[in-house]
Amino acid sequence: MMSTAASERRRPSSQGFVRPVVLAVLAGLVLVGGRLVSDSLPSWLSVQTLLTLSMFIITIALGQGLVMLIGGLDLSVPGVIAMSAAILALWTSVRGGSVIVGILIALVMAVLVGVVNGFLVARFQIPAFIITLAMNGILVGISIGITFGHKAPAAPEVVTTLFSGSGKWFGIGIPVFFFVLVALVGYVIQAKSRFGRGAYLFGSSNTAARIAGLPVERIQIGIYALCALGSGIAGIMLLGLSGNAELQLGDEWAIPAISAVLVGGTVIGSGRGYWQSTVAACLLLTSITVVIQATGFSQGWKSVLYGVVVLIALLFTRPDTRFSLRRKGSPALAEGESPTEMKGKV
Amino acid sequence: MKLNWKALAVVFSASAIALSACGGSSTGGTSTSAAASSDTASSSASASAPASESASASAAGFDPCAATHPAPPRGGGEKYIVYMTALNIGNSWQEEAENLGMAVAQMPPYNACVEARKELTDPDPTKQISQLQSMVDAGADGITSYALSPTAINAAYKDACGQGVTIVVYDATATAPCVYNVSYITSVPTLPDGSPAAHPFMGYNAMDGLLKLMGNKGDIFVSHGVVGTSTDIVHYGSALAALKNDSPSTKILTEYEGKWDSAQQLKETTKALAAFPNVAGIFCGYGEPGCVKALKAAGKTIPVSGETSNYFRQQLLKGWPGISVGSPPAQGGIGMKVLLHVVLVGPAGVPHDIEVPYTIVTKDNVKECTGNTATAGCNVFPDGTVGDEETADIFNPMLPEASLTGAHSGAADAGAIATAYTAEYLAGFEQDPSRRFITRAACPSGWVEGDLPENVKGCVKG
Repeated sequence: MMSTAASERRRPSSQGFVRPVVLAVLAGLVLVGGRLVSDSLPSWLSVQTLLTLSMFIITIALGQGLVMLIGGLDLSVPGVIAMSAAILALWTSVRGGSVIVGILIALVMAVLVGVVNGFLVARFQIPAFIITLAMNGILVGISIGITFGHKAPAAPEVVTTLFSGSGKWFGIGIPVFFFVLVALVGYVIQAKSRFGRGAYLFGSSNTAARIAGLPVERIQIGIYALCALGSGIAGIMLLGLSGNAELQLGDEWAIPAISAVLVGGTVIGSGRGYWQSTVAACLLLTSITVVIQATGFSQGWKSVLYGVVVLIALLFTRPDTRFSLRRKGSPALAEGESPTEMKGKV
Repeated sequence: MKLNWKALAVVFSASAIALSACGGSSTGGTSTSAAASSDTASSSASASAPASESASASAAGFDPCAATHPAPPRGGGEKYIVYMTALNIGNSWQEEAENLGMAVAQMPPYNACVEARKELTDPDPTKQISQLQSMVDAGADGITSYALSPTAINAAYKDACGQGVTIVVYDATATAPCVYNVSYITSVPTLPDGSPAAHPFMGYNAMDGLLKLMGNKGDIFVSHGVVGTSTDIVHYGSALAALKNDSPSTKILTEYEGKWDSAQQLKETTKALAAFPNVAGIFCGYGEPGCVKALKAAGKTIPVSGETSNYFRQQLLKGWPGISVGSPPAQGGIGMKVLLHVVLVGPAGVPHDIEVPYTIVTKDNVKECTGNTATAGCNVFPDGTVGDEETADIFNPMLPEASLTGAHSGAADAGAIATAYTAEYLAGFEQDPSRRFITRAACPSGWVEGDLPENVKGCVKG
């Protein structure tokens, strides 16, 4: 008979493959099913739209997923997005500075915010949502402060071309390539890097991570810094999409990123979850919003419908509910398993 | 000394949350000190024939500071204290409206007897109420306010009125009877050819213009503002009436909530285009640059009805098929001038319901401004001189002293002089009684509640 530990060892790889495939197939079925409400679905345009909108969400979800994996929640995402967009737009359109330098300044500032978030959470054990909510208020205030009195800062043209969907490579919208790039980079960071493994181990058991000799405080700070970096990059992308640095730029994107992480099966504070599932869940949720948009229902009913669909998706895709794709088992630390074994697992 | 870092961090978090939650960030009192000179403010307003005629009736040379005031300053000082408030939401419309109000209050003749202060209000009715009370306690004689709700602020407004404080609300309206409503919501706009439109309401005229641009052929998207707000209900309801009257065969393919935000409009329009790439026109609310940018990304050029961003007006100038009609931020300055008249001269003859004029802009009448002040008929600023999202409608027949620098800085231009209102002039802008229900939720004497032809609840004689 196969031992429990051996069985546990086999499940993660299958779950890391089955769940994202199922979610991606569902996303495709939703688009095909959209034919019922619009003759124009599915189409290459709808696929490009799906990947373009998903690009913004997965860029945010990359770091947010790791934060949730270790039991936190970063609510400063909208503030970081607004700040990085405002910095780049002001640097280029008001000060006339170079785009590269503007991007570097914006991203360095974003990482600094993440480091402060991570330091406060790690050192003082204060719930992350309090720290990050406070930080969000500060960042929005700073963004108001640095833009007030100036003409509304505009995006540099190259950023607009890259991220608005107007630019094409080989006839394909440039955001599609960035979607693939972010998905690959996220996979390498979360599944293949030492940093990612440390994050999973820390998420599954803080104590085990300490015993294994991992620098847990540094890992926490690094995760929050990565989350802020992702939000900063998303801020630059969204600046390109909207053309102007608006304070509300990130408001509509933070929650879809959290939803993608949850529907993808990440369990908060458990060390359980797969990046590829998050990406596939993002495609599913975005395809649902595209089809709901096509229903012609009034705005109120659309919101109700989307909420119901997300709830159903959570019930059937979460590993911690009785309806889930996988009823038992987890990549988390199994009984009798040592942290060293766990490290190999992730 | 050993620092308690945990306590420090908790204090940091609590302070930051409190700061971000705390309403009204006062930007400090600004005593009026604009230099007076004998130059006259340039005042050739853009706009409509009827409104321009009315504009010429305002009283150049009339000095309200020299008039017999109805009451001494409440604060006991030599000057009357008036507040200009706007919402603290990082929105260029709000910023321009507030700056125009501050600028005009700092111009002669007002600056001799008025101290203007500005406040920002967080978008939360409870915070606006406490902020109003603070201003009343600080000795305000008048407050120009952006009402966050037609009814939720009423108790605070009534309390302020009871203490002798004049309240003027601009753009969004309030139902409290003592409040002066200064708004474009129910006005009849002026058509590009200078004649008055056949119907009131922005929504009706925007849809009417959009359908004409489409030749009444094809189907459309409808983008809401913030669903459920009183202005969105009026815009949407009247737009549906125009659709029914002009082109009943035109279908609404999908509706979405644009939330008066360009990024949101872009996101939702992009999704809608994925499902319905053959759409023939978009009825887009504030944030219309998002609708146009989504269309550009999809490689489509179709008619769009939008509001008054400089970006959209520039697109019209470059040949985009569209109709630009929306809320003018000049209302902030107009509201302040109404307030100053009531505070300094008195309320006699001043209507409580004032309709602000505005003009529909299409490719037929879009015209670039060449200077800092209004030149005849100009309604868009050159590319690069203002931000894309900034509202181009800062000039208005009721605010001939407005300037672009004033809209940006909130200060009076050197040499600018305000043209004070008279009660007779303001009476020319009194709201039609049939539209009173929309802003007051009640009808005047001799009128009863009923449906208007524009699919909006109003008042009919009865």
